[in-house]
Amino acid sequence: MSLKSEIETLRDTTASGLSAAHDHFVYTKKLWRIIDIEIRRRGRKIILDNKVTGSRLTERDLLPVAQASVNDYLPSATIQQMVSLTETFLTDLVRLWVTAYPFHLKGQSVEIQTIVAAPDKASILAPLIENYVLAMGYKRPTEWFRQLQSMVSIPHPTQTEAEQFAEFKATRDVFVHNRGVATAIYADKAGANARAAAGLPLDLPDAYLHAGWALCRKIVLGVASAVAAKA
Amino acid sequence: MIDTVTHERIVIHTEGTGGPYLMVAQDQLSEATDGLIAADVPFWVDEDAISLDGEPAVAVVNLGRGADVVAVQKLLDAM
Repeated sequence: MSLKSEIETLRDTTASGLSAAHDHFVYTKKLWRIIDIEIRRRGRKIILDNKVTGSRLTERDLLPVAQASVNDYLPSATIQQMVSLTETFLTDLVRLWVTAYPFHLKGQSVEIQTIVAAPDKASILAPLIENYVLAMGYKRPTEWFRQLQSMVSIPHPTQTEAEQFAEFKATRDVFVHNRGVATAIYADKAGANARAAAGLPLDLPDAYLHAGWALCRKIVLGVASAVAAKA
Repeated sequence: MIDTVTHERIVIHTEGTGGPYLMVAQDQLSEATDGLIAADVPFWVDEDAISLDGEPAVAVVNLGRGADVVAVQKLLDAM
């Protein structure tokens, strides 16, 4: 498969994954709201058993589960999924590009024993490429894009989009590491786009998640198409 | 504020960890949100209202985890 085709396949797979994540969020949210309305407004009686643990839920027990799912677990899981898909797309893209054009690995050194023991050039380069991609993952998103654009000259994402994505990812980090409460690190990473001061809870309204999804999709499609055109 | 469908007082629900919220018939949504805006109460509305079996659609207004539930309930009661 050509590099161009591999990049296009990566783009399509990631875009499809983003759509699936968004569909899951929207439809699961609607289902929980239907349950809430059925119980509160239509008097629906529900009993659920878990025969393994022996627990038993009635409709009254489901109400807090519904709201926590809709506004807590579900958006938190969705933002993690969206950021993760975009992040993996970028690292996979860089891996593909550096594998095709390994001169970007300049500055890295290899032990002579590794060269002697390697059956071919690809075996020598493989660990260097993995180190390069791994090191990229520890940097901030604005640096990922800068690094990518230093390898291949593309106009995507714009500076504004890169900064918006940095805030989106910083929000994800807050939900992964601090139960959704903003920290000083969040404020630093999010910069001018920060939505809450340190110590305050960050909410994940529908509109924010929809905008975040559109941003991730735009970055994936824009970056992949621009890079594929240069492959 | 009285729900035009159930004819009951609209109350803020606080169960769980997802933040307080209220349900309101779609045709009362703008009245409720106008009141919240006028009182400078932050909120967001679920993207889609839900209608079951052809009944009037129900909208959900989320107040966020930092909301002053008592104050907002007083505001609703005064509408």
